[in-house]
Amino acid sequence: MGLFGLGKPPAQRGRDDFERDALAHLDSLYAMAMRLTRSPADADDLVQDTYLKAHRFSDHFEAGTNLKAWLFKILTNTFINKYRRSVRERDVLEDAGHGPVGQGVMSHAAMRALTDPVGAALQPLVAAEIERALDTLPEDYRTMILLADVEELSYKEIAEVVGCPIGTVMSRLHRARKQMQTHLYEHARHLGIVPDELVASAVSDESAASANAPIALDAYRERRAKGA
Amino acid sequence: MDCRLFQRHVDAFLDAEVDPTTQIEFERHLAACAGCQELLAFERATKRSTKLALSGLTASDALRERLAARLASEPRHSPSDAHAAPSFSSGLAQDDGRRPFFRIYTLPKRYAIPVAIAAAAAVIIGAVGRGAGNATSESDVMAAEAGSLPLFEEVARLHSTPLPADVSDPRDEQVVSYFRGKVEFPVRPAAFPNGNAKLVGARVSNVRERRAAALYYEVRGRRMTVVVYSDPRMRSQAQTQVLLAGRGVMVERVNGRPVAHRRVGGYTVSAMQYDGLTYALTGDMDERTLVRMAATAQIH
Repeated sequence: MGLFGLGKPPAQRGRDDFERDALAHLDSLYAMAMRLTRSPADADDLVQDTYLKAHRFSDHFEAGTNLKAWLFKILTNTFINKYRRSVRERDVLEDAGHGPVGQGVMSHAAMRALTDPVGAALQPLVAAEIERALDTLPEDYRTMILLADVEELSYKEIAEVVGCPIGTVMSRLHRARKQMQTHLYEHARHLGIVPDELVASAVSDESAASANAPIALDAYRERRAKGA
Repeated sequence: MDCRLFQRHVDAFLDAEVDPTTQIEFERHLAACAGCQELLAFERATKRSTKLALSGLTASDALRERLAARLASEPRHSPSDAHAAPSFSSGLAQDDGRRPFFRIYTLPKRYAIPVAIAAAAAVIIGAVGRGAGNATSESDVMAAEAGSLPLFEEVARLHSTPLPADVSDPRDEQVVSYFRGKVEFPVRPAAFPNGNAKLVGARVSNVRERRAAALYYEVRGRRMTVVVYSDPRMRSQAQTQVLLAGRGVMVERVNGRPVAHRRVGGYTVSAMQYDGLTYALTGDMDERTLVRMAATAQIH
């Protein structure tokens, strides 16, 4: 049962219920607003706008659907319409020239070094660097990291929030994570956590290119079905 | 399964967005591939660190109070703005809290219809098992289910190339709680009256894209696997009739209980129904033993 799984149409629900349910997500919405606007004052305004719209249109909210995702959708749209400086960034991201990013960002040895952070002492440094890495991401990628990794929404929910197909969510999230990882890797190399020589063993262009080639599970299954 | 396939979909695997069949295949690949294990560990660690690092921003009390006050004084509905209302598809229903799986692949066409029918069969047997039917329809449905598609092959494969147990040296209660939330039905391990069968392990698995429970037993030094599965989709019984003839499935009554069985490769798979669930048994023992065990299995 969802938050609204009482079987009553929304019109019959008390507005107190809606407000209470919606305000339960305030911290998540505020965190998202902060990451998008990078300003506490703008974040406050964005959150307030979001809640006022949600309140005004609460009759449009479909019973049984995910209130948090709905609120995120309003917040994201409001941000795009009101706070985003330019839409050029999105145009660049949607450019068909961007092929899928495969593996090949770093070697296994580098991954190993980064998987096992050098100890609890370094955790605050890592956290600070992750925040910096997030800030370097384009908005759309930042949104992916926040919705998938922090809020742990499903791909389907993310697709609803940002208004794109699930396939786009997957490729965008993949690229966003790769960019984050590349940033962290560079930082770790700078700190000497990952030795320089590992760069040389990073995946070559050729195998990186083959990793980028789309691999359909369908094709794999067909081959296997034929007994290959 | 190769590394490129896993690497390509490691995000979906990490986020638990692959369908159960793919998940099991990925797990099999992972079990044998140190490189992909490292990749997964790295991705998982990064995701965890990201959540840790980016959580913890909270709204101020001032904002919270201001919002509550604003909302309380705000008129509820503004029809003139209706066009601007954000729409949200009903596809996001949080039916039972389960995440919708993102299916990476499509089932080969030749499976599509038998799957639907077999799925239906499980339900019908379930209903019959609760006393709604007669012996003939019960047997028909069992035979249809057992023979209609490579269901039994899958069960045999789960036995012949087993994945490591998640629960080892289990007591029944541990197994029950392990499966809670992992499969869509309560898993109660089968007990066998002669006391020779000992439950030694369990893990979540899948049959025909749906979560299933694999229970590992030891019977006088031989391995036996019991796979428990369910499928709520429904088809008419007439459709299952179509599948009856010539499938090589035997259905017989043993101890008053219908047991379906079929040879699959070198194995016999026997199956019985209890409370809407199918319990399929296979192991390193002969056909009669497996049929008898299916007939005498007790679910508590």
